[in-house]
Amino acid sequence: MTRMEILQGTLDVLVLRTLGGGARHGYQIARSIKARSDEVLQVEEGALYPALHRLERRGWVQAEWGLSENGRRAKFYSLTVAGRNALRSESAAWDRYTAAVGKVLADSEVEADPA
Amino acid sequence: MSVWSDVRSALGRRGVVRDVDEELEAHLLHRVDDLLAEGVAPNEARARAEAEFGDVARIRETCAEERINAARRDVIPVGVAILGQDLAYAARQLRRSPGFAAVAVVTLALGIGATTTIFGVVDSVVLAPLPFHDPDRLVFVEETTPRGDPFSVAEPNYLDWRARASTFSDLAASTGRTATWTGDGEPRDLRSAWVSASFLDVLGVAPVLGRNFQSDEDRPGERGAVTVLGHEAWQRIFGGDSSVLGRSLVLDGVAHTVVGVLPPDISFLDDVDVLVPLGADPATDRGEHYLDVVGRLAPGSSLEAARAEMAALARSIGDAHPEIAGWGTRLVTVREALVGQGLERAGWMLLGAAALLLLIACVNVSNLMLARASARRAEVGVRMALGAGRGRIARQLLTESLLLSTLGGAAGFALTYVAIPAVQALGGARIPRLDQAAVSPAVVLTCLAAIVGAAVLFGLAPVLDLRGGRAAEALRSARHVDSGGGRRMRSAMVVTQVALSVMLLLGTGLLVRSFLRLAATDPGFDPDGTMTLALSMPDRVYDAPARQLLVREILDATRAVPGVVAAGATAVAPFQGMNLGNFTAREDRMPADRRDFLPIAWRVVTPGFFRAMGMDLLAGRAFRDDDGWEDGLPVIISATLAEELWPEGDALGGDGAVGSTLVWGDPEGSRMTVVGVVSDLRDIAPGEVPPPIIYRTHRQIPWAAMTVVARVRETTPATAAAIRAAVRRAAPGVALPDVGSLRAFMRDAVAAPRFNVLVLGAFAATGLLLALVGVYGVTSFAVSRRVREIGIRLALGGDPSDIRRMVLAQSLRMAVFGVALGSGAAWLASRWVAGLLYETGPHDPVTWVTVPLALLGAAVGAAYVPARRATRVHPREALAED
Repeated sequence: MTRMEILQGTLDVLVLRTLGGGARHGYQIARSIKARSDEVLQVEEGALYPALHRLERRGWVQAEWGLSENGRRAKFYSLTVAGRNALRSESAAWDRYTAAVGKVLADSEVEADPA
Repeated sequence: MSVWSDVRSALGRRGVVRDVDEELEAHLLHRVDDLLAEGVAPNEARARAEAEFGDVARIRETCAEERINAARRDVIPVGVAILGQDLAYAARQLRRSPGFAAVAVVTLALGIGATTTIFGVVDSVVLAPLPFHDPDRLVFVEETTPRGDPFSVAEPNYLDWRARASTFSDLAASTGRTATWTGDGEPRDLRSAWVSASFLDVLGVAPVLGRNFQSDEDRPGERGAVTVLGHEAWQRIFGGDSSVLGRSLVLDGVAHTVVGVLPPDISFLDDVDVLVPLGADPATDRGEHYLDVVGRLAPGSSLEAARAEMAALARSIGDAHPEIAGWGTRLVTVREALVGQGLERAGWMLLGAAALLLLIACVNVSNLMLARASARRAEVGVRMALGAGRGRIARQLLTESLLLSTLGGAAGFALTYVAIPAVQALGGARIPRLDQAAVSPAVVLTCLAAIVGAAVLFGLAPVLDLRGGRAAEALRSARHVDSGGGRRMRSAMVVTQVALSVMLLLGTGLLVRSFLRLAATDPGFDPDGTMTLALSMPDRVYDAPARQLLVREILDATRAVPGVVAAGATAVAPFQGMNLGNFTAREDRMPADRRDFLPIAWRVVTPGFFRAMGMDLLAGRAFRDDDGWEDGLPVIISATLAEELWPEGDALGGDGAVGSTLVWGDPEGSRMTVVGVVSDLRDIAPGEVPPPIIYRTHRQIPWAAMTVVARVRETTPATAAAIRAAVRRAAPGVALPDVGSLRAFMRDAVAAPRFNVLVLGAFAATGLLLALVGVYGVTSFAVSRRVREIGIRLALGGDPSDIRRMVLAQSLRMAVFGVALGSGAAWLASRWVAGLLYETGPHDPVTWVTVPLALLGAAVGAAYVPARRATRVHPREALAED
């Protein structure tokens, strides 16, 4: 299985999507992204945190200290209203982009195989 | 996150880092938990968690930056956040070049400190409102002689004015006296003013305690034995006791009841200890002038209207009393009289000079910054390449200027706390209201304005310079590229500096010339080796014969003190702001009309006075102890008077005068016999034209306040103490002040011009120094930029002296240009100092030749050091530089 290095903008969208399901702490977010991408997208776990803080600075997520399911202190992130709007528009843009890429790839496959 | 934790994280970087640390640690612990659950060995789990996580330190740093920016943005407006970053950056930059920072801060501290200090002084002396109600409506009214000379006012005239003038809502009169206060051990002299009951009302001054005089206490012949204390005297004598009202004060042997206390800091009253009622008498001689009259303009009437009315009044009084026909009035606003044009002019001149100094300082710092800017071009280039906008960099540069200027301003502000007292000490007691100068809110505002103004002024050049720079070009060769624009700008700055300091130096030169002339004027007496003692013999305690006797005894006692060579006394101590005037004529050529009599000054002196003063007897004889009204009323006249009335007399001062008869005052006046002619005395003010003087004896006019002048072998404290003790024994009831000297009188008399010279001189010296530093700096810089070129020239056999000449010529060009520019500006501005000059034209050739030449010389000197250095450049080193 080829592993793909993740792009920064992509990571933001992934984080927003993950938080779309409710508040999560950093480790949960990291696990969740890994699991949802079938472990294809390899996130260097640490890289998640600058992204989280960046999103917080933009006002898309907010953070609060709480207790995790392990009984440990952890910082929980959740989407703000602005974050929810951003998730919608970013997801839409991302979907359009992937669709376009997919279409280009599909077309070229057709040309390549004139059966 | 709550706002408060935001604030905390915004404020404390450490708090932010801890927060991030905890979060990352939580991640690692959760991972370790999972790995342990998967069955990984505990000692491996931690290492694996960290490996999966990546570079913990780097990530922590990135997160912390992100958080700090976020918090800043939430709590502080963006502009402020950027300012904060800029300030931090600027502070780092300054720390990196402490030499530059120190020079800039000191330079600015001098400029800002000088400006702020002088503003504080001008604010107090010139600008501060007078401490009276509606002071602009207050007018002094004086009489004028038929020739137009201003004169004090006679009591009946004041009373007539007060009764008849409608342009004034009221008039008041006062006269300064000395009162001897007894009852507390040693008799002491108090400065007293006899004032009309209307006096405080006209000024609009209300006593802080008690009351003003009532009109029934201000009647001729029955003056109330009441007194209002000056604020300072109240503190001094009664310790500020508020139960002072009703207490008694024995003044001139009469018990006065204290009825009131004046507020503090009432200019022209602040040196008065006690006020007593005047009781102006309509029966007094209209020829006796000694009152100061002040009036408050009636609502709706103007100064012009008052002038017209008073002139008409004077004419009508003159018609009714022919002996004072021809006398007029002169009205001067209190403000003009107290502040005076001279002070105002001097104040603005010094403020202008301080501003020039600040400008020079700004130009100097600007120059330093430009030099640094070209050295920093690489840094700026990197920042521009990294995407910093020109606006952002300009902003950064301005922030740096503001930081520097604030540091300099703070130092300058601290300086004012030292400088204002120093300036006050320089000015002495003769400059009114100087003692009230202090760091006021207005001074603080000036300081702030100076800081911002300076920052904009010197911060502008580097920003303008930036416009010429291009990132790529800057990066290519930071060391050797010096934009033509930058060089031109720096040269222009040195030219400006030189020009400004030429202006300061020219002004100083003129004042110094004027001061030297003033100080060198011959007062007509020898001020060295003298001691003086001002005495007053209150006429309520001592009648006329008693005063005559007392003065003789005091002088005899003084002469008996070992070391005293001669002693005499005078009613008019030199340079103490006092003068006595009258009119005279030769009896054999007496004009019919008293208006054609010659105005003269007159003095009451004792035998021994001329010797004690070191004056020369030119003809006839000196006074003797028995010179009274007998023997044809002997008087002695000054050389000028002898020459004026007896022009046919010989060069010695006119033997023709001796034995002749003079008439005192008017055609019916006393006939006086001239028994001697003495050298001229110029005792009114330094440099003032000597008036013709008639000397009369104390036996003829037993004046109450006399100043003893003793010529001594040695002016030691022991002699002073011995004189004081002798006088004390001879006159136990007379108050004894400290022993002074004629030299001290003279020093006081030139205090104001000396003050101007010293302050302006200090500015000019500082300005010159800064300008020379500028010339030196720019020349050094030019040389260091041309090391390679010079090296090549030398390598090709160039003559070192040619190179030196080339460098010097460049600096000289700047200096000549600056001197020309500054001289031109000074020529136009010189009329501003003209009013402050004594016998020195504003275009005094000596000053105008010396100063520019001296400055050119100094500039060449400052350029010489780097020029020499240029010739020592070793070709190999020069070429190897890079």
